[in-house]
Amino acid sequence: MDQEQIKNSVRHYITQNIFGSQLPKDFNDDTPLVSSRLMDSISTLKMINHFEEELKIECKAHEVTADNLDSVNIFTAFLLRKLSR
Amino acid sequence: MTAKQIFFQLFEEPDKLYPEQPFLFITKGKTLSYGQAQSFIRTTVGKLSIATLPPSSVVALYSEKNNTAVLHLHSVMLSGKAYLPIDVRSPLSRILTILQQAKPSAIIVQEKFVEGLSAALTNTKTAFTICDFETDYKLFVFTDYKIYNEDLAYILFTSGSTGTPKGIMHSYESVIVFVRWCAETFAAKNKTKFISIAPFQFDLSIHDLFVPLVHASSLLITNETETANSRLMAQIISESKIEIIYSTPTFFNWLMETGRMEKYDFTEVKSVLIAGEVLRWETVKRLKNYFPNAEFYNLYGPTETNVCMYYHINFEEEEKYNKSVPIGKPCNYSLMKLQETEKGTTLLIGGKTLMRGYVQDIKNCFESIDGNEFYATGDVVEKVFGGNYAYISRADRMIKRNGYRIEPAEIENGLKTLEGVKQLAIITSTKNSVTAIHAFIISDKKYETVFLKNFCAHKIHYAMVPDTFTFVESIPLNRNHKTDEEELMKQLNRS
Repeated sequence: MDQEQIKNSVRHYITQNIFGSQLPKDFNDDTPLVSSRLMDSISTLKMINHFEEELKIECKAHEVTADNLDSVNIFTAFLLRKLSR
Repeated sequence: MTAKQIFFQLFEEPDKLYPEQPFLFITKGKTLSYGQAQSFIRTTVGKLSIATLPPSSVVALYSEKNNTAVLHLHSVMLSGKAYLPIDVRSPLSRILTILQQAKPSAIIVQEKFVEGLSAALTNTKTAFTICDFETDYKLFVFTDYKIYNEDLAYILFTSGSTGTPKGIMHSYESVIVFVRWCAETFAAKNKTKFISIAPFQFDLSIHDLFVPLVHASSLLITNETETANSRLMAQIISESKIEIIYSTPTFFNWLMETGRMEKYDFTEVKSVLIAGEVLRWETVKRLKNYFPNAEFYNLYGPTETNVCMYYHINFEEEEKYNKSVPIGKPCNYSLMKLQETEKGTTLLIGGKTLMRGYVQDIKNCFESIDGNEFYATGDVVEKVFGGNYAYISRADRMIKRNGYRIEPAEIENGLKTLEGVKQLAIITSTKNSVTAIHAFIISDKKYETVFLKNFCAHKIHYAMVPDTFTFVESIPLNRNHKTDEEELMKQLNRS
């Protein structure tokens, strides 16, 4: 999967699991997810689990932080780093 | 000897008998002994004394959850004052309301938050720097303060049905009675390892902060970053060989669902205490697989009474009542009465851990029955088997989420300040034991979800922020002229 495919997949996951059917008009790829509390600790961990299975990667406990999850762009970059290792 | 004096002894005994015994885990492998903690506390008590704070006043603490905060809470108590923990994640407007209501004589602020809290520190007269071993703090002394009963130990603020937070006052007697009962009831022995998961503003923390003192036990404080990461929590509980855990059903469900618990060994865990929400048999049966050597307890009690009923879980009794795990029978220090209402049989609780009252009202918060004071919990219960009771529902609109209790009026008050908003309805739904809050809004102006989430985060406590926002033309009413929640849920599912 390339960067755009991963980003689309992250967007799709957030649309389905956070907003139900469609992204709000004021949402973009830099909108804070964790620090804005759009996502709580339950939904972030579920998202990590989902992408670990989909991309066959493993995230370490200390990597599950807002630094790696706080927007579509940040999370996509984190997933790309994991894939490149 | 007064309860306050007994409490002071509680902390001094482990220091005298086991000065080298670890009190707090600082970082991996490092600990702070009872002797070192006592020395730190004496220094801080000295600083509080220099500040000449009035006796029987309250000292607020504005800090992240960390080891120094624990020592500060103990210092405040040992200096003869009561403590008031304030959540650093609360919006400033809520913090100002809490400070205006409680009127503490001083506030201890973690240095990094001083600038952001400046609006709350305008009527302070002096400030002292308190340099600590992990992070720096400042003590600000207020010019205007309130004097409380000498027996006051702590104040915890919770959501209020009028839409503003209310402060629940507890005495030293309440602390001592509860702590001794815990020490006798659960499988603690000398030098047991406890973990603190709940924030200090949450009443579960009373157990974590004070019960370890009875057995000269050790306490591992987890911070907000750790408690938001289930994988890290599973790792910490296992690697630190924690023996007693106290948290909510939401926490344990989350830990099992996303914490990768199967990777770790939890055979050291001896007692699992669960409170704050309805506990399902399914949750506790799954937990038993991960904690094979543990005893399980379902504890019940609103902040006004602390734990007042409990059930030592017997898995074979599920067949006698399978709707939920019972909340059990009253603790030996509690008094219980039942009251028939149109919503069902509601529970009233009295006894030695009953609050002293609300900060805003110390008289009109009790019902007097047979010469004893009782707090009407608003919880509808039913008698099940063996003299045990089970929780059925609320008699009012209060919501429980992640152990927090939330009054819809507080959410409504926050959202009503938004331009164009005319009317609101707040309802909840529960799926897989997770409670979601839904806001239905009649407004001249429409707003997008991200904006609304941000707006709420600045107006109300984070646990209260609705999960969904739906703009509607009208709020449907049912035959009793109350909000038709069923119809609103249908609208939500259609949108």
